[in-house]
Amino acid sequence: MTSIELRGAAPEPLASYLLALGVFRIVAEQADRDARASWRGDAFVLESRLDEDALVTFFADEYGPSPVVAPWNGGSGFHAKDNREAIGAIEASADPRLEGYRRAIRAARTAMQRLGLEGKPAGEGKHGFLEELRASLPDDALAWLDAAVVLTSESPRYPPLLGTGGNDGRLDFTNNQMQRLVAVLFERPRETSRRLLQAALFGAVDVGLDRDVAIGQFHPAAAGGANQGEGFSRNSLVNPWAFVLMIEGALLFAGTATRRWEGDASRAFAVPFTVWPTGAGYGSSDASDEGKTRCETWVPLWLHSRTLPELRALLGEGRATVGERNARTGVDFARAVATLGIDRGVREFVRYAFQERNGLAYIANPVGRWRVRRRPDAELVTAELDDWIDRLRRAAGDAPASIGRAARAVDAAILDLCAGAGPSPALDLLIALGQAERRIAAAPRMRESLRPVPPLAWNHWIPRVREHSPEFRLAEALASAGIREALVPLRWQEWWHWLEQDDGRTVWRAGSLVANLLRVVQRDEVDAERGALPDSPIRRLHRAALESGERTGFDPRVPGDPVSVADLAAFVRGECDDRRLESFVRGLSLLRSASLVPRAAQPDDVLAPFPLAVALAVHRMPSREDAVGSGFLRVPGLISRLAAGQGGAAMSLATRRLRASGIDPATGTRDFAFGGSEVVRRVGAALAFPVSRQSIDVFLGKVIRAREERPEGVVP
Amino acid sequence: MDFERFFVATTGSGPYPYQRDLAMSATLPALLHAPTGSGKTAAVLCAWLWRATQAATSVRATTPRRLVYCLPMRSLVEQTADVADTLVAKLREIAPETPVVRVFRLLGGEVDDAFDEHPDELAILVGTQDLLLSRALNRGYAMSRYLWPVHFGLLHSDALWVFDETQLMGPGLSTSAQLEAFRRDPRTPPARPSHSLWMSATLDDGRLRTVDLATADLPSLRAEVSGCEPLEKRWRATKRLQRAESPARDTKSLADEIARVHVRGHRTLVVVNRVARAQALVVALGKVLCDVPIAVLHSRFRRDDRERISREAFANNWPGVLVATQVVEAGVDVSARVLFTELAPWSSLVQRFGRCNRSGEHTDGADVRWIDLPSDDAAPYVATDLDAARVRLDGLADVGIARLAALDVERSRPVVPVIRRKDLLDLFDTTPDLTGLDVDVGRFIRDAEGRDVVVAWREFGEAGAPAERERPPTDVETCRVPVDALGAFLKKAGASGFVWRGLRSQWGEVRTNDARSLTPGSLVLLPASAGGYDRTVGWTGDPKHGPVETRPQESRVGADGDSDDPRSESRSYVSLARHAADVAEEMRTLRDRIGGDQPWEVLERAARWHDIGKAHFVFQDTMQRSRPEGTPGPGDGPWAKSPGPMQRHRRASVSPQAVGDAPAGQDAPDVDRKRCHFRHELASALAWLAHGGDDLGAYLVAAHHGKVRMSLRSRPGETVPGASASRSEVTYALGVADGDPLPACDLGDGERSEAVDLPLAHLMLGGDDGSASWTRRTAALVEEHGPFRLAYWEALVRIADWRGSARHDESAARKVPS
Repeated sequence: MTSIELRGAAPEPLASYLLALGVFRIVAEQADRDARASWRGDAFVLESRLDEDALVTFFADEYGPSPVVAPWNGGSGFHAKDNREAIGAIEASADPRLEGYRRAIRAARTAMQRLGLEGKPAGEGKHGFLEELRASLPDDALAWLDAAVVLTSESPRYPPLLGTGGNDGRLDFTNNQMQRLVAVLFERPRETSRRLLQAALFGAVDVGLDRDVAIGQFHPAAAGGANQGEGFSRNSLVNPWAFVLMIEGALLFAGTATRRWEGDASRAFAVPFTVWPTGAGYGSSDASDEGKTRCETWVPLWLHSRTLPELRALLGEGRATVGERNARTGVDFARAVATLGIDRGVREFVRYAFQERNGLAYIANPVGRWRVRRRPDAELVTAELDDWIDRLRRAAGDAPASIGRAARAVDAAILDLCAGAGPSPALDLLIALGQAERRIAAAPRMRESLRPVPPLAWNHWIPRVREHSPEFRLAEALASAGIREALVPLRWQEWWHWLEQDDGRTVWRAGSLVANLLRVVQRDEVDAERGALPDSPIRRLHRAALESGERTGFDPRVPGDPVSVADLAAFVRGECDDRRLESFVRGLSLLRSASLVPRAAQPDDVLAPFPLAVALAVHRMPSREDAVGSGFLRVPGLISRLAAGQGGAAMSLATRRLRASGIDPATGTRDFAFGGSEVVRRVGAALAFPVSRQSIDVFLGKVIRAREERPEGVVP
Repeated sequence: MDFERFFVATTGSGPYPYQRDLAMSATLPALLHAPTGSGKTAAVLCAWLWRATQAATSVRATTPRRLVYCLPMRSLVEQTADVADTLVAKLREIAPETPVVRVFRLLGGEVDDAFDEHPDELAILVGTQDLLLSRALNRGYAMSRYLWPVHFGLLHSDALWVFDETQLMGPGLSTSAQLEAFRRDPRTPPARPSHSLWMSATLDDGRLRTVDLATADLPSLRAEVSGCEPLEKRWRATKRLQRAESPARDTKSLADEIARVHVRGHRTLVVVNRVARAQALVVALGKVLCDVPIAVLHSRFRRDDRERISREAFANNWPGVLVATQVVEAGVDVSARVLFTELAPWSSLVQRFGRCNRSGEHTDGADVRWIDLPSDDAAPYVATDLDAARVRLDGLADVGIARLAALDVERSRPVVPVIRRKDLLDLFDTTPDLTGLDVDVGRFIRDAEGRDVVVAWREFGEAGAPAERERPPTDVETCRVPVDALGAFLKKAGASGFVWRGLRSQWGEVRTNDARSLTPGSLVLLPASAGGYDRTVGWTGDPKHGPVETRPQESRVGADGDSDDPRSESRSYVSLARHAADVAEEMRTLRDRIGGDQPWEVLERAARWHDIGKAHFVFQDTMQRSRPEGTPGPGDGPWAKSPGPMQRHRRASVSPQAVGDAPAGQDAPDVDRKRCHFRHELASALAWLAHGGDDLGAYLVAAHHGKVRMSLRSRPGETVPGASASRSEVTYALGVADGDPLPACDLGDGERSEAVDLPLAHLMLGGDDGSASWTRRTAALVEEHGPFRLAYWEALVRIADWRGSARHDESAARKVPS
């Protein structure tokens, strides 16, 4: 065994990758059955009995080209108006290397005669012709047919790797292949041909390139930059040997029978490692990319050296599974890579997007490398959530642009999750899902086709998204019960359902977080005054928070993770990023069964703004009649004053209330300035957060302590 | 006994010359041309029975043990199997000492697959092309996927395939030709001689000349008429032909014409191309024919209704009008005084003409009227075929057999699609698709138009869905319905159907949009209240026709979940040593009975080693845990079999207690899942290789439950056994981890294995040192031996295992035949 590196091969561009496969396939089939190949880094290493010289000699003198014919295409050389020079030369030659080629051409012509075809078949006739060809071409010509066309009971389908049945725009791969073969086998002087071959295989300097010969989609020449493949270095300058070997490699992408005929045909490509495009996850990707991208093909760089049957097994099966189904999109593929839903002998995938160019042809742009590595975070996308996201993607097709953007944001977040990119991809995904739900809720038409986001398991998500910030803790507290109903019009009835008729409880509107939290608090106030809805989620939450110190053990039905005084104070002082806080709230509200164990009340020796202390003390102090339970002591008008930013008026209401309860607050209204009206409003908004009994006691203590500190404290 | 006497004794009359030739010829022909009614069923059955049981030893030795009688329609299967039963019973009467010959029926809804237990005995398998060809393609319909290779093996080796009524087989005929070509190909030979015989009144061999059978030698035998009175009478029967008077597609005027031409006291047969037209015509006839019985027959009936109608309308001297579809084209022994037929492809027309004045009983002749169809109404046929037939009809005044025989036979071409060698090789791999998708080989079996599902109606009660324990129906209560029509019906009825998911033994809901993706042959339950069926006109797809009278009849076909091979289970403790010796002995028995040139040594050794992986600690631990509380332990192990069902495998070092304490509703601890996919046969194969065994034996050992075959792959949800982070790089698959220890074992009859560490890693991925991966080894085996032989040997090991397992199973339902 001799190991040689094919320096003309590379993972990128696709042409150079296919060349590697082509060389390996031919050597294993025609020169050394025991040949093996592997990717070491980006280098392609061929192990066989051939050294570099012998390899060149073999291809130059012995190689028998695989029959590659496409008589169903105009331009294939089979029809009157076609360029028929190359096919004629092959038919006329007696070269034994081309015997297989001649047999295939004869069989194709016979099939045409049988069907009475005089030109390129059209419509239904094409399907019939393709079936006839698959029934009658020699065995060695089927690899090409199967790589270019998938025949099912319905209409034929064309794996994107070979364009549309072996042509790409106006370029017919088969006729080109024949022309290149004639060039390297007959026309060029033997020495020139050998030098070209050396250049294609080992990246030696190109000589005598065929000018103005199109290469098609395998090489994104327009990109101009990455010239890894020596054989394909400049636009429109193609080394004929490189072209020939590239096509030979593409034949390995014929799916196995199992792959071609499996039932899911309508939704997945029947060719290996090829999926629907996802316009996300690479620079400059956007919605228009998806429209102009035909598909993605993820080509594997495998570990360990493989024989041809082993590589065939890998490629032929082309398996990439997520959960219990095949990958259908780029995002799915990334998930398969991150959950080991692919052959474990693969080290890395190169992701290619087949994108439209000049409105006709496609080019295969490399858009990223994906190392195969298990990333537990990727398993957050459960089958249930996956199903929902899939529906979102499909609905996004004819939905308002905002939904399309939301769907792509979800995809981008999943791709990051699978790539382990960014500081907290799981949190980003959660936020993206929250935003998606918000967009759907805002488009009543979409609600018919999309359900709310299914409940996500708290215990799976929280450990992966938790962030140590006041925003996160505040959001977690708000989300831990019921806030979702205030955010989006849905209600829980054994599952989340869109609300049919507005009941006024979904108060969230466009606008600031503070304004919206105030709406929540005010709505609650209205309900309280009416004596209605004693079990409104907000109050349930608040009550639970108050009780939290007394709770022991785990009760999934009781929500309410109280916030600390410190975090609340930060909120009131405007030290939080409200937009971030709101996006957390939306994301975290999707989690089910929020709090497992309440965090211990934090030591609250923090400096809370005094007005906050007063407002909370007043607003949350249990009424005398019902110490802990059905209601709180209400201060009519307090919330509306806070909402209006009227600090003085609010304070005087509050102190009056405190005095009536036998508490003489430390100071009168005049002693306190609330600061600006914005702080006043924030104090009002802060009433939306659940706080614990301990915190209330702290606030009360503050108020009372202030009183006790007065020089001559007299309690009436 | 000579053939003459044998034939008389079994059939009650003497053989025609061609029937004798078929039995006595040195080698069987590939084609048998015999006109309708010339007794070709009896000819073939008797020829095989005689050659297999009565002929000279040399003939008997080369006659395949299995006669596989493949028919395009279910009704033909029933008739043919009945004939086979009768002949076999007669044979036992006249020659009680002849070996047992069993008859197995394989038809939709009721599949008797037990032939797979007796590779060493004579058997007649009569089945539909769907069931038989799907099995021949290693994707058998209506069976456990894990048994696919067994049937594939037994149907390609030691099998005489007979294809009857070939004009109705569609692409299945091309498939049958290609399969014969593959078996003749020296690269993919069968393990024992097999042969194909195609029969038809109208077959020209052009349809068999597929790419790989194009130049093969296909000797033919023709049934001669002269000198045989009943055949000659048929031959000369007069059938006057004229074009029907009523215009195309005018049902009312056609009904009037039929009423006018109908001859009182005799049968009139009307053959139309589509079920819906048959049903409409019957309604129209009902209005113009008051005192004449009218019946309709097509493929969309439940069996009981179809049988009732057939009994009545096929009875001798039935004086009514029978409207039928193509179902009467084949195998139905019915004759009419007047025949109306819609335009159809020539071969179909010839069959239909055969149903008029069939045996020349109307000496003054009978009448045939053909109904023209416009080209845009050709379905289910293609317009060009109808055009060609129209041209022929226009020049004819008589369509008696003699007249037709004088016409030139057009040379035909194989029907596409044609399965190719590379497809067959791909299909050899049956690795379960983790996504639950199965390959649809249907396009190689019959026309896409014929893609039916099987439906039955049941009362669902308040749940609106079948009860969890609702068992699948038998074919008595089922009716075939086109896949597309089912979707349309569900939409119209606003109902859901429920498809039987055999692997999970569950019913799954089917809504309008799901219906299209059902695989052909799926079994679907419909609520009786949804309607869609009428007992006299069959499936209409109209919710108005209902509620449907149900007649639940539960299938006796067991569930075939993704569980272990039930037949390799036992009801008592059996030690590994005992079981190994038993199975090895069963293999020797198979060798003695089958004989011939097979790798018997490897087979016997693989039989002995097949279960050695059960000595793995995971398996032994599970067996201990599965012991019902309070029952005595078995004593010393290792054990191969235990009574009762096995629990799921899990990692041994976690105590059952710890796992049991996991809070309900929460995921069990990770460690529990890690070995739930444990496959002992993989451990067995690794042990075999570690002891220097060859690749063929390793494959046979691994494949003995049909689950570990061409490729090794871990299952989703499988994670590193051992849990410790330090071992996170360890290779694992199917519950076996690289380096797992296997203790030394007694394998019976004095054979012992050494203690080894199981070498999985290189087998999974191959190594840079050049060590061969499992994929490389199995690919090489297929190349060396071909799929037919590998599958046959695979089947033998499994059958030896079943037989060995049954030995200690006193109360086992399945007895090994003596």
